[in-house]
Amino acid sequence: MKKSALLAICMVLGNSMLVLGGQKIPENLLSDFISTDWPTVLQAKEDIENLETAGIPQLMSLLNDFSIRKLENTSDLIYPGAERFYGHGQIVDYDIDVIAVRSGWLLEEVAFQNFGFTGIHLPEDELTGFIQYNFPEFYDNSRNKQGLNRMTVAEKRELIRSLSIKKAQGWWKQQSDGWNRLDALISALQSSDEKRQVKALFYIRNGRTLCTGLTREFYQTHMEDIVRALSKVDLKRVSENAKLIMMDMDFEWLTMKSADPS
Amino acid sequence: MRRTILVVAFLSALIGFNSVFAQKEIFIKQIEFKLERVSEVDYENEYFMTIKLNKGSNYKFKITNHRDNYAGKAVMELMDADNLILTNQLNDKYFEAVNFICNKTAFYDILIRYKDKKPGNSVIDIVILQ
Repeated sequence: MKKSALLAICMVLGNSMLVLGGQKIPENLLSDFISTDWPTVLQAKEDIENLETAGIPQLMSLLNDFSIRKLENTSDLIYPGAERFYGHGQIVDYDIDVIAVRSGWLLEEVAFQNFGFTGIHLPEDELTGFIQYNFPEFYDNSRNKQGLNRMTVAEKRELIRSLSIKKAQGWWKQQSDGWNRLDALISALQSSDEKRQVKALFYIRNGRTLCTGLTREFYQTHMEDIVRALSKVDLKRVSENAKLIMMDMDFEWLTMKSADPS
Repeated sequence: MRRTILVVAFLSALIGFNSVFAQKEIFIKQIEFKLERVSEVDYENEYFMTIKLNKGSNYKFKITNHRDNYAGKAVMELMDADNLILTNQLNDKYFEAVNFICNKTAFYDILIRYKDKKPGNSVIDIVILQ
């Protein structure tokens, strides 16, 4: 009894220290992230990404928020909710007007995962194929398959959303203990999912947010061989990105990654 | 006779003037992309390459479709990280040539896909205009 009471006190203290140490998304930052002003959301997204592991539990809670916060000031943003296309701008392949999807977008970016949130807004004729390819456990069940054939387009989109959320929740249930972004980066590079590989390579090449422990020495010891192997695969999106990382002998990609914008 | 001479002189001057100011095209690269059948793996349906473009240069991308009677029309996207900076498809408008004045020397990604997920066979010529 004494032992369990002590354990409970330690856990409470540990949680308090995490909060006191800023190891949680501050309320104002979270409220910026769910706001309707695109530049504010984008900045908040980067700040939350810099929190790495600490931001994930609150993002997981946001997966249950299906409210719509239609983005404003999006003239330079190309996304499913855009009302006009100007031919240029930042591409975000997620329907981020919906808070749950916005959270899924950030979770996939922090963790280099592919939960399936990008499939929700696909054209009507691609939805079943997306479910078949991305959620084989669901699709391979004959009852589910029959049900899918009877679904309307809106129901299929809702299904992809709920399967993506379930996948994200399942992932966090399994991985939350001791998860860190650096291991996640390596795991994505080594995965058999080309979307995760591309996410990881894209981050190495262009990402500006923090990945604690990612240093030149770490890269050379633990990642260089993996990137070299990826530079030889057939899929150009993977191999070309890997080659560019290898060509960057000055490690400019690493100097871009800092929490301090100055 | 005098009138004819005047017309010839005027036309010669006009041709000379045009040749002085016409833009010269310097060929850089030709991209060939053939998609025989559409795959369920998204990335297998696209062409992806990186290219270094130089600040101050004026580039032109010329798209030729329907080689060997393939139906697909290539949609090209020029990307700087996740920013789309040039495309030949704007809403319903499709362009077979697009120009780009580069204002930052960097490696850019070129992505080519076929409209409406059709198989296709296309070439894209990249030239510098001078």
